[in-house]
Amino acid sequence: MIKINNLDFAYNNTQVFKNISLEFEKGNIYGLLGENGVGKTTLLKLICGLQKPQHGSVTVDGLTPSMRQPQFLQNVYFLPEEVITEDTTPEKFIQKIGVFYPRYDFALFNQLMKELEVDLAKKFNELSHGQKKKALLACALSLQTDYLFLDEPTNGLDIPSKALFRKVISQYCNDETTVIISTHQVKDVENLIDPIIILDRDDVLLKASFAEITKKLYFEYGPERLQNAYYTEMLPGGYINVMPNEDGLESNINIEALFNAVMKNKETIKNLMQNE
Amino acid sequence: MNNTLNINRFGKILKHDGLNFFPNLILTLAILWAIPVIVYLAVALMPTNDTKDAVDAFSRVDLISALANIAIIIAPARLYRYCNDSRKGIGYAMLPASTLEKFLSMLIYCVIVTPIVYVAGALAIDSILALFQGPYEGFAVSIYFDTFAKINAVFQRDGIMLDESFMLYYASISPIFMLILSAIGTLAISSIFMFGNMIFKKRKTGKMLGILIILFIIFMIVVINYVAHNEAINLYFQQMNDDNKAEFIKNIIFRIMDITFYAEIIISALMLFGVYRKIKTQKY
Amino acid sequence: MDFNGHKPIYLQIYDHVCERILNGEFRSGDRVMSVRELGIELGVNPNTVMRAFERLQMKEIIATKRGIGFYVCDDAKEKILSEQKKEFLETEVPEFLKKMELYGIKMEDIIKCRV
Repeated sequence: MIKINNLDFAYNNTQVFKNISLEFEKGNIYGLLGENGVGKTTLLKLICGLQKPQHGSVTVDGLTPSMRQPQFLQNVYFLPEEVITEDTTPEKFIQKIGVFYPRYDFALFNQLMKELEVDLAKKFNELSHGQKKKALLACALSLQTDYLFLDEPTNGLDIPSKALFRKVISQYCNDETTVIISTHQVKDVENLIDPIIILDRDDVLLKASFAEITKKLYFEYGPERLQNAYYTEMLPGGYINVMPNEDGLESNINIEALFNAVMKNKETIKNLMQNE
Repeated sequence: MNNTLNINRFGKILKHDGLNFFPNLILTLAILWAIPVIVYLAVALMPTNDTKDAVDAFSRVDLISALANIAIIIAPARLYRYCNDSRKGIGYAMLPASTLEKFLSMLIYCVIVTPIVYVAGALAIDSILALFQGPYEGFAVSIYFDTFAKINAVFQRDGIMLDESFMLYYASISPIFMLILSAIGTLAISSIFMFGNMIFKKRKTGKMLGILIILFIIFMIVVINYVAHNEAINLYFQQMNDDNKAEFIKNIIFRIMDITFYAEIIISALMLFGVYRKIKTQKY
Repeated sequence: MDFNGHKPIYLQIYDHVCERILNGEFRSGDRVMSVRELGIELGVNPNTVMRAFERLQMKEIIATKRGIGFYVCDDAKEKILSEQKKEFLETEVPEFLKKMELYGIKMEDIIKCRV
């Protein structure tokens, strides 16, 4: 379990987080959403110990990430947004780092490379951008760490690859794993992520499971704009209205509409979600 | 779980870094190995009329030692170039080994493996070249580790006669201690550039060299000023004449060697502590 | 399987499983695929699949057995059919009748369609 308590963080003079507290529980695939520059990557880096909080604390299963203890590191993998590869084949790369991870599985790596349709014989720099990303994903997943952090993992993937991505992530997840996916391409991970976290400058605007969100908000698909909607957007064939869910109705979350509704009504929705 | 030092895990990081060793350093080593060959060819192919063009083993030992130092200077930035890179260094930082294990592995490859691999290769090449009827006379390998013979040769070449006490002094020092002395020198150079590799993001070796040159100039100015204005030292030099010259020089050399030895230990310790801290706390 | 926008995903998965029971892919007494397996097949969060399975259990379409996992209840097919019939009568038929009235279609016209 990841616990973030009263975290303050700033890069030089730019405040990124101000007194935020968050918890991440096992067995979930968290979606970390937010506009560019609100600190999605920074939050992942703080959880990985690549950055250190100025105030407050981050702990992962009771360990402090910034201490960089092997006990912590061997259970965590972070896949950065930017594709960083060595001048070698994915196979040689994973054999080099895999031995450090207790549940690393080379057979799984091969299976994932096949599933993701990556050419095993090629070196990283002979692969296309999307192929590189998939190869690195296969590497990351074959390490089988309890904590997996993916920063914009679907960037640069073609449409079939995005479906494969959802499949392999869903496959990866079990009761012991915590996956956090930071993204602004919500469509790519729409049915994969739950709960959702929406970050804003300095703050966490929303952290809720789909069940909690649909209890409070109703997503109405209809022919017209509704007056009391938090947010309305035109869709092909009508409008989607994000409404307060007063009648306890069930609806399907449209993450994009949710995101926009939250951004437009920061305080209102934050309060709405906090009320029991 | 031992989070500081675990032999099994240390073996893994050694293997990991070892797999990176040749791919990253082979070009540097190859160039440095080629230099004695180029010297050999240049001397062999030069039109000559006498036999003075032979290069003796002592000179080649000096050349190989100097090139080994260059290898040591370059190695950290070649082997661990990206470990403080905010993007490319993430993999290194997240590698599940302790800071101490990563540090020791880095130390072993930069300070021990690099010079051993370079010197072994260079001596092998030297021996092959010496087998031919060419300008290389004698085998560098036969005297490389014989520090006493080397120092003796240096003094002879510079025309300084060694008196008996000097000879006795050296003879009293065990060869292992002499090896430790030169190892400390290697450690000092290496640790300075390991530190440079951790604090600079780009042009790591060049920046560190620049800083060293500037520090050296400042140091020389300070020392010369100090010596020139220090009455005790001046008085000491005034007492020097042709008869006691050897004794004087010997004392000065011993004094400088002492100072250098302690300075090297202090510098190495500071630099290595800095490297360790950077591995532990570097932000990405 | 394609998800559409309007219905909660877990209900769509619920429907999807019902569909597969109706078309005979999962028979009474058979083991149903696990939450994990279905999650992987659909590329969906396992928690969402779990919600669908909870609903299926609540409706007594599937049940758990220790060591086996989920299996299809004996009268699952009948239950699904009766539920769908109920839903058809309660939601689709009124909608249908409303449209008939709107377009001025008579019962006879409908019967004529059934050739």
